[in-house]
Amino acid sequence: MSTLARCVFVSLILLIMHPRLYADSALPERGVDVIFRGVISEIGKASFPDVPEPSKAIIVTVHDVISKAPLVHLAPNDRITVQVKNISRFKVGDEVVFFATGWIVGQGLAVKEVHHSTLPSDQMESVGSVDVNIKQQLGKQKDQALLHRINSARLAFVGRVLSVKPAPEDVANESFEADSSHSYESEHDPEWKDALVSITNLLKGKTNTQEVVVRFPGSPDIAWRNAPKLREGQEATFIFAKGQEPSAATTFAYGQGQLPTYTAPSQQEVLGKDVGDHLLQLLSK
Amino acid sequence: MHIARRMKSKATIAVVLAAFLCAAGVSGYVYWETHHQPNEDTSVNVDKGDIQTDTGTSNTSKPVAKIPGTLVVDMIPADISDEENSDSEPFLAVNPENSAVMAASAFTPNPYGPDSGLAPIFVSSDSGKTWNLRNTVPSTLMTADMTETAAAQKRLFAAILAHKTFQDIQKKRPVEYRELSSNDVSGLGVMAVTGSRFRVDQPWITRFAKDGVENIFVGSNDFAGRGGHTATLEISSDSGKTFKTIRLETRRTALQDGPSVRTAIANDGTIYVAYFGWRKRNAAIRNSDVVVLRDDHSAAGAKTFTDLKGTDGLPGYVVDNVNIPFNPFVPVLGQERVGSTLSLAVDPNNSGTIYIAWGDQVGDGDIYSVHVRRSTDRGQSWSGDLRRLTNATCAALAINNKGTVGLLYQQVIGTGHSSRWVTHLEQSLDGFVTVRDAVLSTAPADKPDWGGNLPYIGDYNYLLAIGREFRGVFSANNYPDYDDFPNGVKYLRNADFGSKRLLDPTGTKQVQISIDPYYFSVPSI
Repeated sequence: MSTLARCVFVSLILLIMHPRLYADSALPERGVDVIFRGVISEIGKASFPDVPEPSKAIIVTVHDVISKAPLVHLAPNDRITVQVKNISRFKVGDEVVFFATGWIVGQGLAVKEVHHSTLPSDQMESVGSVDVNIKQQLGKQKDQALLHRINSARLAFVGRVLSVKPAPEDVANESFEADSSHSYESEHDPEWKDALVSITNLLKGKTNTQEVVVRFPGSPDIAWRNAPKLREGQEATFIFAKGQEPSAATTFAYGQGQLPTYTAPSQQEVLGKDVGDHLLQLLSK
Repeated sequence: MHIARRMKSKATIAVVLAAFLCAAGVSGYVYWETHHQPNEDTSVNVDKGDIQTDTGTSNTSKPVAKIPGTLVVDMIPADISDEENSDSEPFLAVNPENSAVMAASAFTPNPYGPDSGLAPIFVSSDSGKTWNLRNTVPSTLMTADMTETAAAQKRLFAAILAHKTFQDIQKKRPVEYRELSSNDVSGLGVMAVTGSRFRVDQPWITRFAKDGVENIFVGSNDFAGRGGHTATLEISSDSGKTFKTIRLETRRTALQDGPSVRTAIANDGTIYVAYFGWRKRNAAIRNSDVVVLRDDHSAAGAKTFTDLKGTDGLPGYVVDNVNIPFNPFVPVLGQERVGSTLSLAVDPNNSGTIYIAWGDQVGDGDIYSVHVRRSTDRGQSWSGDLRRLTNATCAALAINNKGTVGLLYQQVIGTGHSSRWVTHLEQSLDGFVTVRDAVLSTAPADKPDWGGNLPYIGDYNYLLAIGREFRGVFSANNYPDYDDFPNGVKYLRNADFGSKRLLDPTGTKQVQISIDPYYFSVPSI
């Protein structure tokens, strides 16, 4: 989550909830990995051994998990340790929404507080709607981030991969940090490949051809573990930002330089087909 | 039959004895005392009760009891029991003031996701019995190389290749070399970045303390080295605050050196460093010198690492010239790539005795072979092969205060669906004439499928001599079968060994097998 996105996100949360809830709120300084609501069970303790400085931590019994990564197992009634910024602000029995950064996974979960909001006891009947609002805002934030990317894109489309070839020899082994004199050999080289992609639905920008070449790192190395790996028949949404201009024509693996070639080194450029379908809905509103 | 003819009588007796015991239903033997003839090809493979011998075997083996006190632990914590990641290439650091506290790394992603820009490190405070993952490493989601070393006063130093943000990746810079330090090995806070740059591969960190100051060494293949002299050592003599760069290579290279640069430090301040000096490139083979340098003065002088010279008068003794298969994008050995296996260890109390292990291709039908050699005169002359391990990789050496040498390695035996990665810890007090071999894991080598992800188990693993123990880490298939762990195993993640299934944290859903990091400790002989 970028700093701008985090600021927008927290601002939206502040707007939709009662101002009293946020009298002591502050903008997150770092990424928020997990959002949950719960009641403070113990103060100055941790829910499992090996949490450093448990005197700075509290134990929260979770009531609702609002947002988390799939691999993190957190559910209602779980006890989670939160290292808080100022322990004097909390007391046992407080109902609190935590925006937190993931810290420890082991015999339990521990997170570090980025931001919190204490729910007044006279508004406990509305806590469910608070959770719903936050989830809705998370969805809206995601949509806004997508729309922002589309607005700033040079070219965006839904397409189908027709074929994949190694990039021409003069660029296939081009190191990501190539020296001008020669290309060094590294386990972390990208091993560029070229995918011929047929545009099935243009979302943004112009192109003179129905097909484009998308160059992506074909390397199996750990440095590119999370890079897009295009394969024949794959349908995806492609977004290329302004500044990601198509490269020079002479080195294309397809079309003798007649097809524009865009580079997709990260998952930012290649998203699921469902994202494109969702974007079409958003753009039609 | 050809192999059998080459076996000596004692080895034959041992094999027959083992076969008899297996046939009689005797199981549970887990290590072998092996008598080798130095300078001959020797290896013993243990595969679920069968002894197999490979090319050039010449040894005597007898099964003995399980090594008491051995600990093998699958380090993946219970709370992420449903992870199916390839957690390869592990490394280990032990707090020198409290050996119960350790930090370890692997290619393990942040379970909480990428938003924090942090990667996790494993931490144990109970001598490795349990491990937690702590998100304290400044690298988005995971690292692309990481080595770490623990120092006095709970400090932890690391050298990593950090995964970068999307903006950097779009500039075709997916990883950045970073030097890190922390005041708390147990993962209290995010590690500080004390230095960074691009165009560096396989950073490898070691340390020693002198007069209360931490001296940090980071070997790497630094492409900023001019004239193809890329084998590099970064040296800090102020506890990691600043580093000076030493180019190790002095000879002509094939435009660059190999990825691995390794250091070994004796208690008297003698420092050895080894690297692969690439001399010629031929398709997927890199003809390479195995070079060892020495500094007798803690690398504190104006001219460093010039105390050991080759026959050509240049710094660095060439132990051998070898052919190394190097295609980092193709799995060739048990679904693993090869080409950078290199390890070095010095007797801490006798800096004249040093061992080296490296991987190359001999050309007798091997895919990749590990060689172990020794010098007893400060690197001026070297033995022949004390061990040659066919189709093995990830060799790691360590020597304890008693002079016992530990050799960790992972070897593929069998083919196809019957192939296995066998992880050994060998110990010897007599230059591998006699060996005590603890088999730590015999995992299937064809599962899980490599899935387009390399390294499969790692370009390296790690071994340390800590008091009267050898401690180390390796990665292997996590199929929950006690037969695959002859010295026993403890899983922190949820697994049902009865039905041989991995389970998610709730115990309700089956999880696919994957590559996990394992910690082990074995009492020394």
